[in-house]
Amino acid sequence: MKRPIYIFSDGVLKRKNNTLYFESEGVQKFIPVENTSEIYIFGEVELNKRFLEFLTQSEIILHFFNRYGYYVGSFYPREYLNSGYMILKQAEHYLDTQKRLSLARTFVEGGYKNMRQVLKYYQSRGIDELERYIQQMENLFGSISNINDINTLMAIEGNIRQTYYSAFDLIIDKDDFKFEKRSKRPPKNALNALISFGNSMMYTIVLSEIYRTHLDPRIGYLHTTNFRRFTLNLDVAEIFKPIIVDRLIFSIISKNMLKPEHFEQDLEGIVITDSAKKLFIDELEQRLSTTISVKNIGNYVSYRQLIRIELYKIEKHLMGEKEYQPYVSQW
Amino acid sequence: MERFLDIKGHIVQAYVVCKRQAWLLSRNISPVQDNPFLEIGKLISQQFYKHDKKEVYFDGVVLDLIRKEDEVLVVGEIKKSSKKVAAAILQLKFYLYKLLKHNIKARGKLLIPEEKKTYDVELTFEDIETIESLLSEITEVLSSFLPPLPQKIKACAKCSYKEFCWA
Ligand code: SF4
Repeated sequence: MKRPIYIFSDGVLKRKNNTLYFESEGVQKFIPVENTSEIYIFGEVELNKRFLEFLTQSEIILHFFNRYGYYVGSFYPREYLNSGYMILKQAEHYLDTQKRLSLARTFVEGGYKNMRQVLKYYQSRGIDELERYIQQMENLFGSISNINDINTLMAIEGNIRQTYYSAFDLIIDKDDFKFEKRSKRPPKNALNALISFGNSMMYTIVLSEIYRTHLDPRIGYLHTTNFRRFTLNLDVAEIFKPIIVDRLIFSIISKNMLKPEHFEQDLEGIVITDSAKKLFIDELEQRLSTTISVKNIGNYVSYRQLIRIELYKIEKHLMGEKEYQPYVSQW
Repeated sequence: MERFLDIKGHIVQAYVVCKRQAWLLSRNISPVQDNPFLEIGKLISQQFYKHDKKEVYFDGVVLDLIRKEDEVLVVGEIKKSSKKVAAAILQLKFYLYKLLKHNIKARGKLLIPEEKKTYDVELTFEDIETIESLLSEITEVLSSFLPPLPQKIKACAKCSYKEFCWA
């Protein structure tokens, strides 16, 4: 099994013979290339072209984060699964307004349904006040079928998400983790910092899975394409953020795994410490390898495989083989 | 007849196992690479038969190895087990057919090193007819706008398209 490598220290990354090699303050470490699926860099790391060439040859993506835990960008090696056919299909669905809208709506729908599922779960555990939020989200969602432009669709998606986030204080109910309101760059409190970090992780996870398919990450449908940024991963992440990132945050907080010391006040906002990032990533890895049963596939699949399968479903939609239905969590 | 020349060996082989797989391959929707069965195949062909010329590209197909015996070209195809002998023999005959179309007479050998087995393969007149009718059938399937629907067959279990087909 290939696994992601996370680098928090400062140092130098090199190619040594046929392995990856990391050197940091006298500590030297060989990382077997055949066991590595992708590399996350959180520290200050130097690397050279020879190293990048080796990554390309080994089909390994590199994701960079800055010290605030913001996603900086990815080194996305040359595609190794290339299908001109699939790219044409992807472009066709982008250029045709109706086709694009219908896919964009589907992503909003998938995100909405999973957000609702999360709230319903907590409602069933006795938080009755959530009903009001669920209703409001439902009303907002009801209007998307009449919408004929992407910007309005995006705006409604944003409203649904706002409503959903504002229900977080009912679910969490801990003074150290008040949501108040969504604040992004920089996040103004610990919960917002966690959400931003979790979402960025989700974007890179989906991007890594896209790399293992024939899809081009630059052609998204809900998020605007300008061909310079990755957007398809943002679209697909909408579906998984509630059931992977948000649920994880709720569980970490309710188990008291995070303390105020895990966060630092900076001049501009709240910064997550490395130890909190590590803790979050450990839990995230565990969650991604958790298996669930999915109909049609028959046997159990992990959440990570589930993301890949979602991408295959999109490929099949683009091919005209089977209309795309987003994954909706059952509980 | 000329249009058949575009069809590559691996597509013919796939077609015999599963029509859908052949269609997907023809669109370059190639299987995900983390299937271990593909890797084993690659390793075996690297380890055995070090002295022959290996992996020769010819007219869009890859020949596992070629050698000259008594002034006749011998084309070898290496497989990891005798499970799919029929498909492999067909693939080999298909190579011989392509060579013949280029006026090169050759004989074939199917090699299964792990089981120490070899099969001699020769192209007969009937084979040529069979191949040509198969090729026209393949052409028809491949030119369809949609791939043939997936059908649960034995091959699905180890097929690297499994998740894709049943997603
Ligand atoms: S999974 Fe089954 S149907 Fe799909 S390509 Fe493989 S053999 Fe064919």
